[in-house]
Amino acid sequence: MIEDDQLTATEAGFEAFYAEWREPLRRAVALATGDVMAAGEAVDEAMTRALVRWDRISSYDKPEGWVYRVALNWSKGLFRKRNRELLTAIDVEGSRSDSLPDFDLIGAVERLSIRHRAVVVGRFYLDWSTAEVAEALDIAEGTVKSRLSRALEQLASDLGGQS
Amino acid sequence: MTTLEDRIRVGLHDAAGRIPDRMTTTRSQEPPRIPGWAIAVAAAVGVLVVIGGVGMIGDGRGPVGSDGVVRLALTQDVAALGGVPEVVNSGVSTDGFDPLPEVEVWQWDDVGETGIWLVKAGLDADLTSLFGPTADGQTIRPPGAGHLESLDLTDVEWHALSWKIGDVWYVVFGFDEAVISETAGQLRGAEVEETKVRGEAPVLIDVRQLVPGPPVELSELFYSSSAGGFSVALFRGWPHGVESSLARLGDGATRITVNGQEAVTFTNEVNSWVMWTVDEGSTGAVESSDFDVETLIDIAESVTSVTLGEWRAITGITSADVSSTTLGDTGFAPLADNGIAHLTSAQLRDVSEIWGSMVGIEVTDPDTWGRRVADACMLGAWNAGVAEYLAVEYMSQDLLGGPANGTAMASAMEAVWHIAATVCPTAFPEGALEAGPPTVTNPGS
Repeated sequence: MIEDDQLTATEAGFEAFYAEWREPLRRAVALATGDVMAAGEAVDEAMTRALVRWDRISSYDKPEGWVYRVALNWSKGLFRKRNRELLTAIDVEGSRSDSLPDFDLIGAVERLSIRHRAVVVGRFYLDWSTAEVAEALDIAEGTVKSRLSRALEQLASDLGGQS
Repeated sequence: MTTLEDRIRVGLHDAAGRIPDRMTTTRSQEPPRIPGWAIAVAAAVGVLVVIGGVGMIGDGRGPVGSDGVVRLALTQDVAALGGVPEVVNSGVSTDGFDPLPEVEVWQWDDVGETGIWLVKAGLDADLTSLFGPTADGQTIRPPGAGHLESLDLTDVEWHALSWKIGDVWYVVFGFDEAVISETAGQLRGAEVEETKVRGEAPVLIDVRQLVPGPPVELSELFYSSSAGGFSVALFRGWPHGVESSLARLGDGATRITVNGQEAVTFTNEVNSWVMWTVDEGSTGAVESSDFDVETLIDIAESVTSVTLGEWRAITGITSADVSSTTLGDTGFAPLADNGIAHLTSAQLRDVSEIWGSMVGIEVTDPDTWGRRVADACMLGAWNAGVAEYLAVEYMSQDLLGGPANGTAMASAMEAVWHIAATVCPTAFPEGALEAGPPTVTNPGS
């Protein structure tokens, strides 16, 4: 039997985590998968699974890494389930009107594979170290570095020295 | 000058900031309240883990029902999470799937992190339309028995494992390799009865021991070496379902503790085994036909508590030796009844002819070749040391202990390689088939 005060602590701990990470992860998953519509659902699904396992997940160094991975995988499952291509276009029709988005960069990122995008987004949007990205995606750090290197190489090639 | 990394960082943050705060999902943006079911699940998980997974969920009568049908809970997680499989394909297009006649698919969303899919299909089934295109445009077919295979689809990597009951093949697909192996290990040997799978909670499946022989139960053999009358072997991962599989093979597997590590002992008419987890997802094993289990446990005591690195040092494993060899495919089962591979009549004819033509000795006994093929494929006849060891042993047997000259031994080594290449080509490490038989100047991998 779980005690009431334990439940309260669990609930409070999870809600704080949710409040801090739900939005950044939704945006990260949207960038990584290119499917803005599904990203929120994916992160909510991953958050729900984290909640069920919160006793264990909360003990991780980076629970947000676990949620990021699960949400990405869930998105892939959705992709397969729907039997359609992932939406590759990043929806940038937001409210900002003071400047234009870097369409060249966004286009180049879109052309990366989702594996490479997941690493790039983890490293440059979530600002995680390569070790943290590796932990989040449950892959070797060497793999992260390799994917990052190839992604940067491809981005540099696509952008043609524009930076 | 803005660096590429800076541009990516700024560009991604800018793009993320332009993503609308609220999308057209039906989910609330507010932090969720912890629902009652989740609390109940959290409590149930703790209880169920203690109880164990087999036959304890449901009526509590144990795994065998009054109708004689063995029922197993699919997994603890599935039962605890209320995971009810969704029939996603039964020859009828549902949820966007292309209909695949003769293929049935069930999906459990709550197994592992992202769910699994169980596919009932023939090995020749074309699953391409079900799983989407592969990265290289190849047709997707179920992997061979006991063969954990990765599917490199466009942007997505999947893993699959299959097993066979009667004429029906079952394949589990999913993202998480460990979950796939574990789930397949629990499902293996089980006949899935649709009426039980569809929508009843907790999820129960019917298990019937339809197959008198063992299921094809293999794992990836990293290393095997024979010395001093016994063999040591290193497998990738714990051979899933090893206890149930071994129990069916002989006197029953027994779970023991060796040097504080979980281990399993097993004896059949041919060999005794002690297997245990090493580390890094590997399993060590010591096996012999000459020693009883107690003796093997004594041997195991000396190597169980070491790390994988130390294990490699002890056994002399080098990186070149760790050759991720997948055993089993094309129906060949090294861990078959009594350690003897079941050879088809065509395979028996082929191996007899190879031995006869290259060594000049006629051996036609099916059990002899079944045992030799099992050795050649399990131990790795592509390795010069293994090939030589087996050649010496077989020549000694066939010549009734008499000496063999050097030319005959070289031919025997080559014959052992050709026999393995004929029966279990998929067990060879990458490039080993192309490299040809190991010789003194071509020692193989």
